Amino acid sequence: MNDRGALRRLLHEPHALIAGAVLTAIVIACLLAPVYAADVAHTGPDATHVTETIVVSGKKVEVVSPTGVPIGPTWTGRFLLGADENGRDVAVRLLYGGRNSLEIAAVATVLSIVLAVAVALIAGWLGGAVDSLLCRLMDLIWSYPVLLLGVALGVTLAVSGIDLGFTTLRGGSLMLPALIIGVVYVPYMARPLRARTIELRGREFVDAARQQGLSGTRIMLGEILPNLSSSILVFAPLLLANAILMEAGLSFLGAGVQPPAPSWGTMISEGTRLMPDAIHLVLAPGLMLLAAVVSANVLAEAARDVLDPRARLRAQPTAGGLDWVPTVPPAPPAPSDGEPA
Amino acid sequence: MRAAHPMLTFAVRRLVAMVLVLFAISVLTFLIFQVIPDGDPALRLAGKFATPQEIKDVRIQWGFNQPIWVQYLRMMEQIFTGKVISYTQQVNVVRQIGEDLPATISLTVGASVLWLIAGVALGVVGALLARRGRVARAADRLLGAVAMTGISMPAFLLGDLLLFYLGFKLHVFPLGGYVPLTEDPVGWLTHMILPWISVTVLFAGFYSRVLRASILDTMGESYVATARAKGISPRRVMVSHVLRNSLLPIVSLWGLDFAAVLGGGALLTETVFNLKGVGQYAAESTQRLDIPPIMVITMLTAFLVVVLSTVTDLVQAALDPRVRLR
Amino acid sequence: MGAGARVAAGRPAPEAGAAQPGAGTLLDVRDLRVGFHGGARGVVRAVDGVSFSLRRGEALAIVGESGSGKSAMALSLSGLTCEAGADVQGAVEFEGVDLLAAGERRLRRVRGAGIATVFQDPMSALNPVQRIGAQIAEQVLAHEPLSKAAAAARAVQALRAAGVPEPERRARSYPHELSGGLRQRAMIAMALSCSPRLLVADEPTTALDVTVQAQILAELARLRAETGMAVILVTHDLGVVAGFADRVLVMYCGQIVEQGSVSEIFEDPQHPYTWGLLGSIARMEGERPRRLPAIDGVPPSPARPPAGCRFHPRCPHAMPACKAPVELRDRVGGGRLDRCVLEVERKRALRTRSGAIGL
Repeated sequence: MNDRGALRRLLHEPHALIAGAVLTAIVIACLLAPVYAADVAHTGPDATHVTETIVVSGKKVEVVSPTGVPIGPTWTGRFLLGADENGRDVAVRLLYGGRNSLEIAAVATVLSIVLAVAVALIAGWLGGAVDSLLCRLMDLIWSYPVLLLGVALGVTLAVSGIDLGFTTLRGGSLMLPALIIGVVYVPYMARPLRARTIELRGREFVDAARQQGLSGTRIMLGEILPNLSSSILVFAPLLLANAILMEAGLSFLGAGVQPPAPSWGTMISEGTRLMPDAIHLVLAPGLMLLAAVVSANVLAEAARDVLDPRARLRAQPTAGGLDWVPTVPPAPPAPSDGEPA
Repeated sequence: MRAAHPMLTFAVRRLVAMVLVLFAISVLTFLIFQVIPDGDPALRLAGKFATPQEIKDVRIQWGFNQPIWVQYLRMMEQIFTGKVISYTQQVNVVRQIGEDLPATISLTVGASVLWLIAGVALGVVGALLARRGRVARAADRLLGAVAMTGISMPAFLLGDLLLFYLGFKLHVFPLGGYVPLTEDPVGWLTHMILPWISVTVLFAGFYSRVLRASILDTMGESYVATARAKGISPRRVMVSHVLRNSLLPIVSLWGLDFAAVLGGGALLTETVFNLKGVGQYAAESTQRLDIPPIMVITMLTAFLVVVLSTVTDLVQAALDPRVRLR
Repeated sequence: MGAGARVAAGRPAPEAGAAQPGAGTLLDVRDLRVGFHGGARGVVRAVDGVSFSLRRGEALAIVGESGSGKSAMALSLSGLTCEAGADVQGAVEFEGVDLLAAGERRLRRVRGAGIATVFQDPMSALNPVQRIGAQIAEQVLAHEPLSKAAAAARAVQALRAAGVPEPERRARSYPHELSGGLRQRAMIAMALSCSPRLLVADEPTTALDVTVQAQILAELARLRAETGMAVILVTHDLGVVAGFADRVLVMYCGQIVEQGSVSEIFEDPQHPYTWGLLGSIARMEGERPRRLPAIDGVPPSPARPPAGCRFHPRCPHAMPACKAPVELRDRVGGGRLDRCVLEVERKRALRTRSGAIGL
């Protein structure tokens, strides 16, 4: 498969283009958060305006009413999407929160990819005992309720931080949820990549490279890795979507981004507590998150259809919202080895 | 030469696998909470203002001063004799889960039937539309977009929105909580509908995409061309040749998802709707770092996953002669 | 070869290999065009204006490289390409009824009972989750008012007739439990279970071992002799045609380039493409082992066929006249057709390559 031709075909898919554009727009908007905060909203993500009043269409309105109900969307520069119960500008927090959510998701995705590729290459290439050990480990991580694991790690580490040897992550660091999410999603990608590695190992070009006396490492990195690239490209947006959802889930349960730092998940969580009075606190971050996740999933689907059409059953997003042990659909039984997974 | 009946071999293999999985999961859970900082249960048991002496007493009383493997064995003994006590609330965990199970069973059974029906229907309709004319393909795209939105929806966002619009605004459904079926069947139903819808939306989109892809792949198989060449009706081609084969991957998916939700996997949905089921108990226990309930619930999930995957393997083997049981 | 009782299926068998002159026309195909919507590339004309007819009991071979449109043509005869989104035009008259104009119900009555089809790969052409016997019985039940038990018995009978050993046991087997050759025999049994007047065999031996290929072809020839059905054999290998067919139709890029009896095609081929196909047959009598010459170049895309004779870009004997449209007509006499503007005598000189025919 010619990857450059595939990229061009991807650009001809209208829904892929739209999804890519939406995702890019969200990323750029979040990157421009400081500009928006300073020049449009004239406030910061943590600045409270509980006791202030603003003028909306000629009338003076309290940002937070005496009964504690925050103002809804004003659709003007200040408090565009309303305020929260602390009188903070929701639109500003939405963009700053998006930075946190996207940063966590991006780091987690990269981490997952690096670890998954390493596991897949080592297990697939060495085979034997190493392979079965790594496979069992992947199965174990995958069969463990990821959200429970994530919440447990998140709750403890949020307070104390973790010493990784080469660096220390303090409690409340954004890298903590990124680390947790990145690790629990390794099996999701490592298992299909390992299968592909084993498939590639039996091909002629690998035999040829071996005949030339290339070392195992050279063959893995020089011959097999490039052939995994299309699978990686399909999985990357899927992982991103899952990581965004997982961050939101962790933060919703109080184990992700720690207040007062904003993220889409923490904002929805805070909004839920005020629910009947201020649905905009749930809707604003919720719809933003949904748009990002849908775009990433659509992009993944388009990439899969173009780059790796045979993977239609294999590379599916995990079933919504990460509310269970995520399952990867099994491959349909092959004629030769049709055993259940 | 075969020493034993293949079914017997299969059953023994699965039993061994179950023991191994339960052992691995329990050790993993136990170790995670031993290793993570701030995981010391004595601090939490003794309370916030405990003196060092009080903490020491708690440690001895609960056996936290013994070697890790002794602690593990004690915990396992308590779990299997049903005497395990939670650290924070100091209630019997097994009894607590027994009280929480009816809500989770209600959620799982109702939602799994709904999501299977909705997912299969959407998948079949999508696949049929995808092979028709321009308008039909646009309708298929629309269905795909709906499914994709369902897949991408965070569970708690969907729950929040359902509660807000159908609960707070329209007063159609109660605002969460659980009413036992035996006490008030109508109340049970009205309390369960929103959670069912919520879980169904999340799953059905996923199932419909998997099934649609599977049907389209199957339609390209040459045995479907053979079936058409026989002169049988298109409906018969669809049902006994296309669907019969493309539903196979759905079977094992459904089994595993059923097990996961039944084992408290729907912790976000249960928390949002305040169902007081196993999932919510799991979420709360994890937030409190209460190890015994987490141990029991993860082991329950693992047990259910092994049991259900054994059942789905048996069903798969019955449906697909190529599948050999191992 | 398969022992066991042979099914006495209806009509008296005519002499194998020769349809009696004057016997009725079974199939008449006129100006058949099959197009697939190829997305951005527009409509791909897989079959572009093919006409031929077939007498009862006749065996016709359709030969061409992959991509020549031979399979699409064969499948469109009973409307099997329609459902894959193909655009089929022209007329296919089977026993006097135009199948392309017929409704779905009528077409279904013809499929299986009038025209039966055997596909290339017997592994993927049988439903993996149904027993062989049930798959055959399903077809019988679709066409005849039989009880399930009678249909099952008919399936066993058909398997026996197709040379499947232990047919009662095989009827209860699943496809993956059978060898490739047995599976193809099962496919043939299914095709013959309703005594069709025409069997379309789409590359029936390509996916099989060489030794099994000969067995299957011999089986098809025997069954044809016994039942008197007509056969259309689609193949890319002229080598399997010689002992089997009465007439040969050579296709290239969606068109017929040559048509004639087996002896005419093998002894006096008119179109250079046919020479190329003949030159690439492995010959037993060749004294020194030599490389089989293949035709240079690749077949053109049916989406953008070359102007004029579609073979001219690959033809070593091409001349300016080849770039103008060449019609399919009789250039030698005797009712055979070809699509080459070279003079007949010149062809006979050009095509000889070290004592054999080649391009």
